[in-house]
Amino acid sequence: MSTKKPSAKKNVAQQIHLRMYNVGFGDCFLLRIPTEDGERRMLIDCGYHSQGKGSFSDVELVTQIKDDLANDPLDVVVATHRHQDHISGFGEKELWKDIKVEEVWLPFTADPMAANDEPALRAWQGLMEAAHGLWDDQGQLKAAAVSALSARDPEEQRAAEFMLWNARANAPGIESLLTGMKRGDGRPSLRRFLPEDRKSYPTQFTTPALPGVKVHVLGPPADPALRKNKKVPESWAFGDGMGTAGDSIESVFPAEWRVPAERLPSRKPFTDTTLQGIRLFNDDLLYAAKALEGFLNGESLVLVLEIGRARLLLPGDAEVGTWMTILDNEDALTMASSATFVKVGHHGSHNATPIVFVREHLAKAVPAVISTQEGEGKFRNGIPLQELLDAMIERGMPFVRSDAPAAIEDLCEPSPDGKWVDCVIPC
Amino acid sequence: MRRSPDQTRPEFRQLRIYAIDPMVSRAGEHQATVQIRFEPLELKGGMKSPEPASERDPLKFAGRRVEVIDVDAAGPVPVWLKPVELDDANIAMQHGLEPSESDPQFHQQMVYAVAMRTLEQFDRALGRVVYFSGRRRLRLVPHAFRGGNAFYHPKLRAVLFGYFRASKDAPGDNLPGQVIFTCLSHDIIAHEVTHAVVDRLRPYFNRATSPHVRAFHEGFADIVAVFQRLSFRDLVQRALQDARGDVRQSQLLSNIAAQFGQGLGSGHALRTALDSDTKIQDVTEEHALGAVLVAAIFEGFYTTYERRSADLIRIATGGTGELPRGALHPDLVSRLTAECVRTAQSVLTMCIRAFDYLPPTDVTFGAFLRALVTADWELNPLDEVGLRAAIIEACRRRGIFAAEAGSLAVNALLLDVASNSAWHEHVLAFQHWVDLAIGKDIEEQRADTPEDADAAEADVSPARSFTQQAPSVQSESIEAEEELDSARQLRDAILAWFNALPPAERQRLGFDPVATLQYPHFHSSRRVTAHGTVRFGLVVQLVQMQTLQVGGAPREFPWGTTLVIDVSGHVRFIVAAPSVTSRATDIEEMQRLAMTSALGWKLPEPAADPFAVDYRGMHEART
Repeated sequence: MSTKKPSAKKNVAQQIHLRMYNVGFGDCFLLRIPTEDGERRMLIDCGYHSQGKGSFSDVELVTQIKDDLANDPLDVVVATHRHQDHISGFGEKELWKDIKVEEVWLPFTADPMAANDEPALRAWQGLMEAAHGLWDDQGQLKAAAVSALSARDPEEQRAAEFMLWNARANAPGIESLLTGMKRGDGRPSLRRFLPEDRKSYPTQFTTPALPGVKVHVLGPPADPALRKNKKVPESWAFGDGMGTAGDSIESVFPAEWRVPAERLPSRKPFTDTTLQGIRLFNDDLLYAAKALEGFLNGESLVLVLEIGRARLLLPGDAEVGTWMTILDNEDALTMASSATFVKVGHHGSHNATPIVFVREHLAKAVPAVISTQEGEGKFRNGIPLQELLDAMIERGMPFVRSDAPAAIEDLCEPSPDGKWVDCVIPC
Repeated sequence: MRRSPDQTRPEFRQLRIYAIDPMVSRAGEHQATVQIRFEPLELKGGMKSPEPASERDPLKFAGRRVEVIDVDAAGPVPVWLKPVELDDANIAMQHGLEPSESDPQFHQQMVYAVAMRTLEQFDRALGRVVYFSGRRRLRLVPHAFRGGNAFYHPKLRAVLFGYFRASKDAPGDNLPGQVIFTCLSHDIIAHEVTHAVVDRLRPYFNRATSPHVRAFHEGFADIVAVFQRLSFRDLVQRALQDARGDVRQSQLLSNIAAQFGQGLGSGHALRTALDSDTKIQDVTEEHALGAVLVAAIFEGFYTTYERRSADLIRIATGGTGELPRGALHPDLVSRLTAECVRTAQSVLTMCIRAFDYLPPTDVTFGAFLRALVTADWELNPLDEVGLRAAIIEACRRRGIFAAEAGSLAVNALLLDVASNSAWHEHVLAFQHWVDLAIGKDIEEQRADTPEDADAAEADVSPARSFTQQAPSVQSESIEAEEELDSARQLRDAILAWFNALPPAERQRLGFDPVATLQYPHFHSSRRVTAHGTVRFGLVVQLVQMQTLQVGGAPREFPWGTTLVIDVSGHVRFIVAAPSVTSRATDIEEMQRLAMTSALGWKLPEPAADPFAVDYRGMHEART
């Protein structure tokens, strides 16, 4: 606990500094936390979606972080979940070699050993790798995948592409998080797969990396059913290469069962248009993409950092299942509602912040940050959600958006070039 | 009895099927042979083509009410599979093809057999042959698309079955990566065909003005699937032997679509008929609600089964009630099986017969309970077996009441007998209707050939909503039927009668004074009285559209009354749906739910129609 000075004036040592980088459609936050043992630094996510670039490329982003750290080590790196728009920056391994990281926190679903308890995780991992395999080196969707989506309308195709890009296994980034990063003395960073104790809920822990800070873990929930919004996709054939979906897929029945093409009558019981329509019922790439999207959002860490009298609510991109768990549990809800500062989930979309939480549970006038970028198309329509912003205004919550930063007294100050916003949080 | 050597037409056809999902029945023990009425099955090419028959292959086989079209639309180019000729002597003499997962023609045989079996359950229970609208055939497509789902598509008049691969990493009891066909699940076929039949019997149930409506569709379809399976004697016998006589212990009998749940990686069956004692007041979600209904009926069933078999157990154990260890005596199992099958058949028949006593719109569980009780009471007033009482009790335990009945006594639950004064003046008109209805029946039985089913195609509408997994299979408005002369006459008579009623009279009878009458549906009925005589009657559904302001915009909802009319023209029962205005809160809630995300925000793109019923087989619960 930082020693409380009796003075009523704001003392620099009593403030947490948060820098929200304008990465576009993504998240990247650098926290400076005052502790009795000096300042500690925490990085929460580092990435953006290639279709939603902000002021930085991956290289530029990590370089900026390095500059801002000025050779100080990072005490904690948090990757809330494995979506590209939160971890693409971790893939710059060359640059990360020079940054010393004490601890890395990930959701437990990212732990390779977790699949022993939950075999379905391996299947999801397979899907992520398959999604990765759909993209060629130039960052274009492969022909087979395009063909698989061809039955859909262009809006849905674009939405599927957006989600599939986000869900790629991103081997360098994940590898870096799991094994790459090192501490100052050369040893590998300590990995924490949260929550570490999955028998009780919610859990909390402290760590020597952040002395005096209590970390509350409100998500992801241990129950797999709460971590996805759709059933696991049935057509597991995608697990071994989603591309096969669009290839001239042989019917599962060999030729001897089929009516040869030359013997087909010209007028058939179903017209070709009807059959094309039936084909839309396929559990195809679009569906797999949506399922994976829901799964990865569902694995988001939801943390409340208790620092002095500050409570920072960091929900990553947590969706319905996680929020229902929080709302249903008295302790978790109390902890979340006690927040004195909020990072708005999933770039301000409709499925990451319950309306009832904003209107009834969260205190009034709690400051917030939203790392977001507006965009076109089915997927990005409604991000950030106007109704959510209105609700926040109604509650008197001062908030700042990364894509439209403005100075707010006692809360934040954007950089002159709009590349980041610096916030202060009293503790 | 044959009178000449030329009479070779059989009465029944035997076809082999998988009675339990193939993965579970790998042992070969869970196959069954289904007996259905014989009908000649024609191989057809589809619509009339210009090419001569010698140059094209048939693409489907068709019976009177059902046809099987085996086309695989999953890939970019549709693949047509050869239809099986079930009338072929070689195939027919072995009771159909050998069950096999890799033989697509067996899949065709299976969907045909189970669909016909299900239809015949309805025929037998309702006492008449149930045709689909316009007497057009229902189409069954066993390998329609790639996906772990199956559904009845009202626009296409088809049941589409999907197929998929089991999870590689969490396949349950399936082989990893194995192809699983939904068309090989008896439960799924029966469930979907039931949707098609319910759509026919109560077309206005396609407006979901409350979660009960959708829940009823799901629950009822599951009831038919489970209880039909319980009528496969061999299967039940084996299952009871394994479960030592206790139906509840047998997962084989109470699980629904076991393989599919496992194939989806969840490790257990899709649904189960057994449930703890969830009450309907505790759940709002539609599938959970439907499951409560199934559980209630199932409990009524096994309570009765246990009561019926109590004396057998007493005899077998000499009064101790303790069955000996190890296997039960085969004679005992055989008798228990007989009781089980008999009870299951009674339950199923009772549930199906209840349809005649349901309102034409806005079904609720309470209305279904009253219809059940009334249907059963008409058939056997004394309820010696106690089945009716058991079901009422099971419903009570799950919070299924008929609020307007006031109590759970059978008398209270019986439908209101029409007060004579209001309807008495129309007795003559109704007698005329009954005459026409019986005439229609006679005409129907004479007209043995079906209408040509090759009518124009309806287009499948493409997916509109981002939040939907697949294009909508939502129910559509009622089409005008092609019909027999006498049917048209009766329909005209009903419309004329209604239109001639002055508004005050309409109000007195409980109708809306102003709204026009929608296309009336009707059928004749026969019931056996306590004396054992058969009395004719008529059941008419009278529906009007009422407008209600929902979410600020006016919407139309159907509202109606079912009249159960006796041969003498007297109205025996009036089953009215609750008025639309009294459902306003429910309807508003449905609208609101459809338009808000799970976290409470208004969706940028609300679902196309918040009141449509979705006939997809394997739903995902709303999250």
